[in-house]
Amino acid sequence: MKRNIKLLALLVAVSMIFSLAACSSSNVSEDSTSSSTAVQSTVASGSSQEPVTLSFIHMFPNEDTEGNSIAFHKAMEKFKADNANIKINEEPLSHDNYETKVRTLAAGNELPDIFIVKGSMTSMFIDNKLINPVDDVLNADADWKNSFLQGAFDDFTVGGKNYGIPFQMLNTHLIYYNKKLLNDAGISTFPANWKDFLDAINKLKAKGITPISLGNKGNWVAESCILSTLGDRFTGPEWFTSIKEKKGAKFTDPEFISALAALQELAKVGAFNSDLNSIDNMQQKTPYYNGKAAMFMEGNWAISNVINDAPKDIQENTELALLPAVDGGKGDPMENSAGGAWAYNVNSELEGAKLTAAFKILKAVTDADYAKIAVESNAFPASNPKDVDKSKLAPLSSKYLELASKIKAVPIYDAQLSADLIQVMNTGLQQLLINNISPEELAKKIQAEYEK
Amino acid sequence: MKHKIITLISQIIANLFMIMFSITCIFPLVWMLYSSMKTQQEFSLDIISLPKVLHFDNFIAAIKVGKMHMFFGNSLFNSVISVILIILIGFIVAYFLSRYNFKLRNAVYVLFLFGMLVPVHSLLIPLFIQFKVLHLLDQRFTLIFPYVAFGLPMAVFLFESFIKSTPVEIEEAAYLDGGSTSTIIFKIVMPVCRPVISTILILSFLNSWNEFPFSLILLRKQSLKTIPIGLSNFNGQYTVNYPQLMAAMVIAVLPVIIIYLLFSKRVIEGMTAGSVKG
Repeated sequence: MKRNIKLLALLVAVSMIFSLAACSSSNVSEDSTSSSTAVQSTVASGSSQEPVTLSFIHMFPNEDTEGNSIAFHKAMEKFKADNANIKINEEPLSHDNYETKVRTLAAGNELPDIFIVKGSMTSMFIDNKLINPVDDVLNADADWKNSFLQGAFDDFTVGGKNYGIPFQMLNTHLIYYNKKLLNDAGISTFPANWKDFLDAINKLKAKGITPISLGNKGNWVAESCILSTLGDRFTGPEWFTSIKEKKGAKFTDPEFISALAALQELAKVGAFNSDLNSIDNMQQKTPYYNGKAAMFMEGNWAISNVINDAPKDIQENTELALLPAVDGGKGDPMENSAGGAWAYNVNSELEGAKLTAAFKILKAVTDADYAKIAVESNAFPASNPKDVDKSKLAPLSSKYLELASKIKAVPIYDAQLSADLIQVMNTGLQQLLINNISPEELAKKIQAEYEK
Repeated sequence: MKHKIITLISQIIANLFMIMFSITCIFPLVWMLYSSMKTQQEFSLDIISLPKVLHFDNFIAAIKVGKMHMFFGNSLFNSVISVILIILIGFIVAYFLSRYNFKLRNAVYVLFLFGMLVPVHSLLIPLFIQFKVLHLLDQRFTLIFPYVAFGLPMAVFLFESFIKSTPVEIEEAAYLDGGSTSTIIFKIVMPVCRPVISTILILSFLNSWNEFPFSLILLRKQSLKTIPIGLSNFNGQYTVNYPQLMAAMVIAVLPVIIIYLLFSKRVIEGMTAGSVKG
């Protein structure tokens, strides 16, 4: 009996520990709710000069040394200095974490005031009424609207309305090649058709150089940086539009199969390194930097890597090109997989002074002035930069800007197709590149997922 | 003589094998340590080579830009409090489960064990919504709840089986000598459980220290986040600043290594320990 009473006492003690913990945390939460209501009341009564607090979740941590992140921080610093009344609570997360978090926040209807939406998430956000179109705001500010590049909004356009303000223009496919290595192998200009391209690969191989360094461990490189453009060379852009709108095109169409076959052919003739599925896109540049590989294919984000990391002689010899035209292909050789991929939007529940302030911030991180900062940080914005001082740019950046002005944007597969489909395609490509699956079988698998 | 040579050779071979095996475990740590002193350019040119000049800027950047000290403090706070609570609650619960027979004893035990079967990722969104409704998001104590809840099943399981295997006679002797229940629990049984306590301490410390999804989802304020989130901030969308990341990782693994070195002997003890100790 005595034992039982002691047992009871112990249980009570434990439960008190719990209740104490619960009390202390509920106190804190009361504090925070009262402060947030205070903020709301000031907003409600305020003109634009009244203090406004906005929450902002983005994918540019300070630690990130990519051009986009550097440009974002420069623009934000300037904005904060000019607009002392707007207080911004930022939550920076790295790209992959950001995606997990924004999906959870959307599911819990807890989105902050400003966030970034991925092209492929747009319809889900619209269905749940989390975002509104941005057309009205853009139409009211012609300078801002007209500064954007052609094709920048494509990933976020649904039913003719734009649901996001893009900040970057990705060209996911570029061939970075070492002019000197190609010259040494007897190739004086970059091949302009598929046959010459294969010839060049054989010549480079004969010299003991890896023709194309590929790191497809993350499995998106082969699809995003090669197939999105290679596919278009064969199918042309109409085919993709038809796929996206489900208007009859199939992944088993002969054009798409030829694209897969062409990619496999490259692997078969030994264009790639043999460890292509076990190194990633950072490591694929190592042989290139050491002069052991003649080319690598990656998007425009790699420009800042080459500028920062490559030895001087390699950097000076680096030139940019696109995949050559293919025989009987329907695509234009200047077409290239490009798009915004991510875009800013604001919470659909924002109104009044907060809404105005939110778009003011977004303007600061997307308009032509931002574009200038971005270009100077070796990032590639979604709008046309205002009077850039070319002498400030690295030579490779100028080469890119020249090439980019001629590029016609076509869709990036992984920015526009569903995640499940891309998963099938990406893992299938890893097998394709090591000859474990035939192009026809892979096409059938992708089509089966598409029809689900 | 011949026999001796054979044993010698077999010893050398066995040792060589073990040394090679140890190298595969230790090399990544050594590699991380010296890579953290390379520049990004050196690292991209050759990931294995030694740094030419020792370059401590990465550590400065990891602390100044990456705010590793802040994440470190948060992680330490969460881990230490969670570990203490897990051991205390787990021990008491397990003691009563193993020594008392009450009506729903098995149900309670099974309920705790079920916790081990639930995958963390399936709970992210439900838990997020629950915390939102309860206004528990974004507090200093937010992470303690899930960490303790997820640490308890294992602790209860280990404590329960360990206490069951210790002879009840010790406690009976203490009871005869007039020891109260709390004396018996904390002064007699707890010291006997020392090996299993260190096992649980290490395992639950590691779990809380490395925990990632809850810290990502349940916290919004940068100043409350933990080390795994801080580390992931070094990853750009397409590029990773490896040397800086390595420097931050060196800072992050230090306590784990220290805890392991301090308690490793006891962990091995805990795994092999029989019934009566000390």
